[in-house]
Amino acid sequence: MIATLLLAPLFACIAIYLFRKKADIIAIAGAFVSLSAAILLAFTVRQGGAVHIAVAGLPDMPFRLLADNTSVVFLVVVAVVAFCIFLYGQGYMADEKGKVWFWAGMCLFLASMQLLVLSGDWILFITGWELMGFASYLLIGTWHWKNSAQEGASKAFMLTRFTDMGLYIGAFVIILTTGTSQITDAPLQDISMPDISMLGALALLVAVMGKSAQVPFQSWLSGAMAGPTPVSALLHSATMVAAGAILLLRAFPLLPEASLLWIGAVGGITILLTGFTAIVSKDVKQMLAASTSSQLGFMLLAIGAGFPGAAFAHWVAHAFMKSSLFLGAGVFQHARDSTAFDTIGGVGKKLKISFAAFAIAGVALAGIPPFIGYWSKDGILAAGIDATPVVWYFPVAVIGAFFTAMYMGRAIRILWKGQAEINRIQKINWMRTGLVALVLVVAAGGLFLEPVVQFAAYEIPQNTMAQISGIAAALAGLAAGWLTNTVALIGKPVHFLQNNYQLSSGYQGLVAKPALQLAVWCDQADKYLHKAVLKTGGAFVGIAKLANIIDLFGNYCIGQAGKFGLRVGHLSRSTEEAGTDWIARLTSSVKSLGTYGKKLQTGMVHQELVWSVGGMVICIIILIFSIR
Amino acid sequence: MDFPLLTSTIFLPLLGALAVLFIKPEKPVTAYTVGITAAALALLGAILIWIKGIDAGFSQLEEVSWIPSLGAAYRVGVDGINFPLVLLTTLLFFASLIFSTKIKEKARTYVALVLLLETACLGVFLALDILLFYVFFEVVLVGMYFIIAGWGHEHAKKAALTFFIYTLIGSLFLLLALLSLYIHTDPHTFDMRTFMAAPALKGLAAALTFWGFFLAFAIKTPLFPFHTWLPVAHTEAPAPGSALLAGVLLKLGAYGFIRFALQMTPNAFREYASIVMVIAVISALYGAFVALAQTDIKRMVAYTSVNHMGYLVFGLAVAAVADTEARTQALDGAVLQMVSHGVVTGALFLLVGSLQDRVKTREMSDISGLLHTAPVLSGLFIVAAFASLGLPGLAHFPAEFQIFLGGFSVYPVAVAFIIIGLLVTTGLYLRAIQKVFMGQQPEGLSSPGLSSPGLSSPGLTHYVDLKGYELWAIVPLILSILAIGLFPETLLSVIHETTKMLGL
Repeated sequence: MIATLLLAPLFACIAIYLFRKKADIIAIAGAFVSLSAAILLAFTVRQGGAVHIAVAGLPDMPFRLLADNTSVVFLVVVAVVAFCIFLYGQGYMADEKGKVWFWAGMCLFLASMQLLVLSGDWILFITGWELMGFASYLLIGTWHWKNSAQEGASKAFMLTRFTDMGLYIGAFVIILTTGTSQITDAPLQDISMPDISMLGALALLVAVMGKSAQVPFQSWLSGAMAGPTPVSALLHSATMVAAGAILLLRAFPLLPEASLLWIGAVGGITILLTGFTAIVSKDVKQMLAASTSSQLGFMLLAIGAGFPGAAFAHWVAHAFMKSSLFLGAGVFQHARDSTAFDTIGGVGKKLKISFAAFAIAGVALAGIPPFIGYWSKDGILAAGIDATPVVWYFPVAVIGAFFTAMYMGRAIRILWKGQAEINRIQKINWMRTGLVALVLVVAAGGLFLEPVVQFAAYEIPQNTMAQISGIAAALAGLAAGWLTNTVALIGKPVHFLQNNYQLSSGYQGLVAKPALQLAVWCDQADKYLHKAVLKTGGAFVGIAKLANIIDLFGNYCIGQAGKFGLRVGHLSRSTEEAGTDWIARLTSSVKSLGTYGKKLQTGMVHQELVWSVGGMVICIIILIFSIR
Repeated sequence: MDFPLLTSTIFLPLLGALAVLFIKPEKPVTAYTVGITAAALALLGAILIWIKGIDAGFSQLEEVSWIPSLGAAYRVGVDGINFPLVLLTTLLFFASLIFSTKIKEKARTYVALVLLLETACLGVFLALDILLFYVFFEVVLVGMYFIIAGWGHEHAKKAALTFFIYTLIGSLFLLLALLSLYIHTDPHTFDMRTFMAAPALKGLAAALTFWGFFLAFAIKTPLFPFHTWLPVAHTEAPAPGSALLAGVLLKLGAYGFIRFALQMTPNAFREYASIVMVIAVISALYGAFVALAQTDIKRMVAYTSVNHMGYLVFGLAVAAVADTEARTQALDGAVLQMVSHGVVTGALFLLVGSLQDRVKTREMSDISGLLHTAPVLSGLFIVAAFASLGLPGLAHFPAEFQIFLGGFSVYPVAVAFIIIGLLVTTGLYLRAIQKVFMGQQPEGLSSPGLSSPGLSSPGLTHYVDLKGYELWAIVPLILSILAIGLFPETLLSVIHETTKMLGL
């Protein structure tokens, strides 16, 4: 079953690449098979307990797959979200170019995310992690002839790969500390497990910050918007960015106490900064991108507070909410050929179903009961209160909740108010099906969230004060977003905020340019080195004239061998024609080279070769004669 | 006596070469048929060796007395370290010969030379006698010289000469070191197993011998600052020649490091390991940065070899000092790295060759939008490039992961530095892909007949996708890349048996 789960999308990917036809059908079939297998696996695990599989891997470090309660929940969420997005993508991509590329990439992406979720050892985890990065590179670059797509794809891969080095270091530390590459079954903590060093924990945190787009690595998410919207929906909900949270949940038993504060701090800063970006964004997809960073920040905050259960709940809820929001945005995008708020204003009145879905998901994200987002955000606020030594978790979380509600309220207002003419959208039913299915989960999922979290052996912390303040922040935020024109309020520094804190020459100036400059210096050094070596070589060649004497001897031997009438001799005669031809040409042309112009030198070299060949021939003859 | 499988595998290509020379086929096709058949039989031989079983120590020994008074004999044998290289050699020569079929000029001589080269390479890897090793080592040098000089691009002869001078100096040191081994062992022998079983050298003699080996193999591998022959030779050699040069010939150096420096002078290596380690780290980073500065795609790929060989030698330095577990990890990784680098870089060079045939330039800024016109070529290149930058699931990852994991317990700071190399190679491949394969296709080439990308239309013959013979050469290499990445155990189990024994 595990094999089916992983291989169905993988084979779909290969089949699409080979056949280059019916890509959508194959992909959806693959996703469907994978979804069915995930659900079946969930039932198996529920009845029979965790499934462990170990296959041959590196020496003493087999590849392990682990399907425990936690991972099957991840699996099912990923499979459901992906399947809905695939259905939607069938409609979205109907008139777009690059279908084969898109669908093959989506299938590879799904397979690698499921591999990551199922991995029972750190090597497979890294494999899933990096393959997903590769798939996202391909997907963001779906429209590879566009400049923005190229830049976005390269930037996303480069940045995440930079932080992935943290995962490598972290994995080395874990393997060396625990003596095994196996991942411990997260919630069933083995108390005897030693904590990893602070260095290892921080290295892992860097990896998480890159993948989950936390400050200061958040900017790749904006660039990633250059891909098709279903890609963004998948990237931002249950996969890719979500992998960072999974890493922390998996590594949680190993993390030293002191590192939690760092995790919480990164989460807190990201919640506030990117939340603010989302409030002033000019583009609905950019707003959602910033929102993703901010929501992942909530998860980090909960983990930093020591409540992985809250982070887990928010992970599940966020996967459904954010994918719905993106799918809604994709519909508006098709209707107006743009995602800028200026252009899509008022589009909601024409596309009522999609707008309603978008609004429900938005309100849910803001944290209004009874939708799914309320329950998970409530858990994080409670975690913030209960995190005893650190007092600022709770206020930050409340402000973050307020920001969330505010940018959602603003987006809903802009989409509703005003008038807009819309394009006729081909195959909108496919898109609607996927979107509505996801929103149903958002709307009704609140009832099931707690049992699911408990099934995964986690707990959601609860606190009355958190509930009240959460609802208050959400209502205040929605009202503020609906009523105020935030962009007008702030004025000048807006551009900086809207670009998600891209320090104008941040990455370019700090990393890319120095690296290229260093590369150019190294290249120049290499050229000097080469010249120096040639000069030294020239000096030595003079000494080697002595070799001529030996050369003559070598030639004599070949002659003798030939006279013996041996087959070897015949061989050398038969090649003579060809041989003398290019030895002659070689001599003449090498002569003409200024650097090596001296006659004796060139003579030396080719005679040396003849000598070597002759030596080989002699050796073979001796060998033949000396065999007894 | 059993059927001499090793000897047959070594000399089958030579037999093919002789056949080509004697039969003197009129058409190149016949010559290639003979050549490819011989290479295929050698590949089959390698597979049979595997099936027959490879032990931790040397097995399937074949020994024929040669110069008994000197203690030299024809001795060949296989273990977990040289077998992967035998497999790599036979596979790459097979692929390269298929790819070569487009070379029509002096085809007969070319096929014979390539086959001679294959015999010599197999001989180097399988020889258990240092005299035999040295003879084969020299023949490789000669064969490659003629391939570069005879069938290379515009500055081929200068490049061949550089290649020759460099490696000749290396051979000189190798000879001295080998003689030192011979002199210091009592009774005198050329049998490599004796040197490995009980490394006899001590003190200054051991140190000098070690540095002799180091120089010889550092040039061949190559390590900074002995690498400058490599880009020159690679850029001028014909595409299959580059693939062989990078894929197989560089491994002569790496293999020598393991066999001689590590196994025959282990104490000296341990003593100087930190120096070797620093040189390896510099090579890895320097190679990556110089590659980043290249505008010529073939030179760029060539410099990444310096980078990858830096990782490899780093693994060996770790193996020289580390305790059993880390030592085995690093050595496993280093041996696998040889194979991975062989197939990945081999595939990359063949692909660059195909690319150059089509667009008639190697300057990356002059090419763009190849994904439109040659999607298969581009797709395979992207896979190979990501393999080269170390993507998990592809060939380099299991090797490099083990090298770095082993290294982290001994030289954690050096590992932190050396993985910067992974980032730089990522950057340079992404840039190359963005420039060459993505983007709009150039104006001049988008003729009206190009409504269906990838199909040939008149006047665009140089822009068509990969042809049959190219696919037959490249696809097996790509499949090997995937196989090593997904099922590293297959080869690693063979390697691990031997490295475990050495680690004790």
